[in-house]
Amino acid sequence: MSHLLRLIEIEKTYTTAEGPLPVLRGVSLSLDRGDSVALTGESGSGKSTLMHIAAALDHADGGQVVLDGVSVGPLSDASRAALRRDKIGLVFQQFNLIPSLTVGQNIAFQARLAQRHDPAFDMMLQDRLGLAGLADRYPEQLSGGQQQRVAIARALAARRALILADEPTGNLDEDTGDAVLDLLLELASDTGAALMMVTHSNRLADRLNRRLHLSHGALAEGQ
Amino acid sequence: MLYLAVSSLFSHWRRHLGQALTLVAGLALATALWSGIQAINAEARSAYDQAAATLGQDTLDRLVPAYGDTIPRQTYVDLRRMGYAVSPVITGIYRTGDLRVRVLGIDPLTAPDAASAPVLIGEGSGPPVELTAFFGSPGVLLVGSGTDLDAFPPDGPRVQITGEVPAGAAVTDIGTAARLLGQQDPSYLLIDPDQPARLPVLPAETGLIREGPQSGADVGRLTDSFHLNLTAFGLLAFAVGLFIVHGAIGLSVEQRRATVRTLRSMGVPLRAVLAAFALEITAFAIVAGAVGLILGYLIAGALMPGVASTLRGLYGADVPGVLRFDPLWALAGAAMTFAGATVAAAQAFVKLAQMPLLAPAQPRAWAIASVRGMRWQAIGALTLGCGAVGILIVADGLLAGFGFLAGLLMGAALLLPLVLLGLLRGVSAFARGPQAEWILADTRQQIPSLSLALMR
Repeated sequence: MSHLLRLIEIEKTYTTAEGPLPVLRGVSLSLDRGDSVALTGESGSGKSTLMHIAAALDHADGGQVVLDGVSVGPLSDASRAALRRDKIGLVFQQFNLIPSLTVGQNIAFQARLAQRHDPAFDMMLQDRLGLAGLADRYPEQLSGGQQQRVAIARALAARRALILADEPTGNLDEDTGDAVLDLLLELASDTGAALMMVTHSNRLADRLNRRLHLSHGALAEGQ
Repeated sequence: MLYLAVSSLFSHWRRHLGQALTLVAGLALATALWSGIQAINAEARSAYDQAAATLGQDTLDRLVPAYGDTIPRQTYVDLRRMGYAVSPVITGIYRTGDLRVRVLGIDPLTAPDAASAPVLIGEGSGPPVELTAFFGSPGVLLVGSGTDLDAFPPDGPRVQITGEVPAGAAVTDIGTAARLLGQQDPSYLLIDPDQPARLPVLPAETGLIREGPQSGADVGRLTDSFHLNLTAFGLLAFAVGLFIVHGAIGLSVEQRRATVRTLRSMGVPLRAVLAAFALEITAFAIVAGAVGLILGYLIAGALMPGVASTLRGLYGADVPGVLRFDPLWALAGAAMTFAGATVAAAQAFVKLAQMPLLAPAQPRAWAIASVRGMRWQAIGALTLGCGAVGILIVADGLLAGFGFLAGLLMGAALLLPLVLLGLLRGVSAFARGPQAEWILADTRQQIPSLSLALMR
């Protein structure tokens, strides 16, 4: 069976005032449908960079990204955008909600973009994530935790094959964080999606199938 | 997808109504002032051409007195007896109170074909005039449709409106003109192109000079500087309006950088984002263009009587104080609005197009991209400055003066951000304390917008 996501020997180096700073040195990993992987590592270890490369948001300096059988590297901007729209649900560390759209419109945005909008599914997500009654509010009228849940709902509403979440529970209390992770895992399992989640919490990381640790530009299983 | 991109980007304006109004107002005012002035210029130039074309004055040679304003009647009679086919014309300004009409008196019996009013020979757009009434007393005045009829005494000549005579002018029989103007001698003699063969050379003792046909260009040349000044003012107003629009668009794009990043990361391609921005600008241009054209027409209509008085007083040019609507003028104004909106939005579009997907929401990245663009700005500033100096050295005249000033001002405006950046770098070396460092760092980040504000 072919993997849903394959990162092969990914290299990434940033240019800084002090000289080149390699953050990823030949990182490889594979994700299959139904997988759930926790990505841990110290701050600045390159976790977000790896997520961005996996999501076709950033270019690797070397190596290859293959998503659902398609090699991402040679694709044009429009083809990469289409790949993100159709295959990937993203949860950003800074939420990245559209400030001029309401909560309901934000949640439905990516699903509508891919013409797969299901209002009933949106309502279910809002209920499960504690957002019921907030659909007509604007992001600025929500707390940080509520905004994060809207961002999670948006990624889930599109029912993508791959969900990439950058610290999705970072702004949530322990109980809410647990509930959100339950939902992420449940929906991933229901739809056969793969989940890769960046987290600093060992407790949450332990709840996922696999745990990968990024350190000094290299990826290691477990830890 | 484009609909979603447009609606999510456009939703910004629902929450920034003031900014939207600034954009529309800037573009509408720029259009209004530019197109209003163009309407005035076009109306005046059309009046010059129409006045020159009255009774074939733009095709016929004439004899004018070398000295004085009139030709003795005896001279005219002598020329006719010698066989010259010439026709007398009495012209002058008929004034009553503040009203003023240029009267042109012709002799239909001797006038060359080109000088006969079409309405007299039944070829005009209106009903033909009764010739017995035209020759008799009190006579008939053929006037343009824009002429103020209150200017004529109720017991004076009968007034007939015709499209063949420009507004502000009246054509009548030479006898009627003589009575109205109190002038018995002809002002000049029209020369029929079909002269009898073997005529002697015009005797020098007649004291007459032969002149070529009058053309609108004669008055046009006289009033050129006046219209050029108006155009320059219009262009300046247009440029100021565009700076306002440029600022409003730049601000709106900066405020939506995070939204652009989100749209692109959700799967909207860059070209769809740019197309959405282009559609948005087009919508603004349509609204602002319509408002601007209406405003421009109203402004031009309000200014027209004053401009007509000024042209009359300074150059003796007859321009009606009323404005006609010309669809070509409206189309040209609309085209100017779209061109202006495109120019004002171009910089923001180019920056957006060049920004990496993950960078747009980082103000520092935006500032770095702006600094990169400043190199080209510096080259542009130097080119404009050198061009201005070049114009000063090699060219002369009013146009060259405007060119020199335009080059100098635009060059200085483009150079301003670099000068400010240099100044800030110099001051940074002396900055002490976190507050001073923050102020300088933040100002450096705002340089593109700050310089734009100063340019205005």
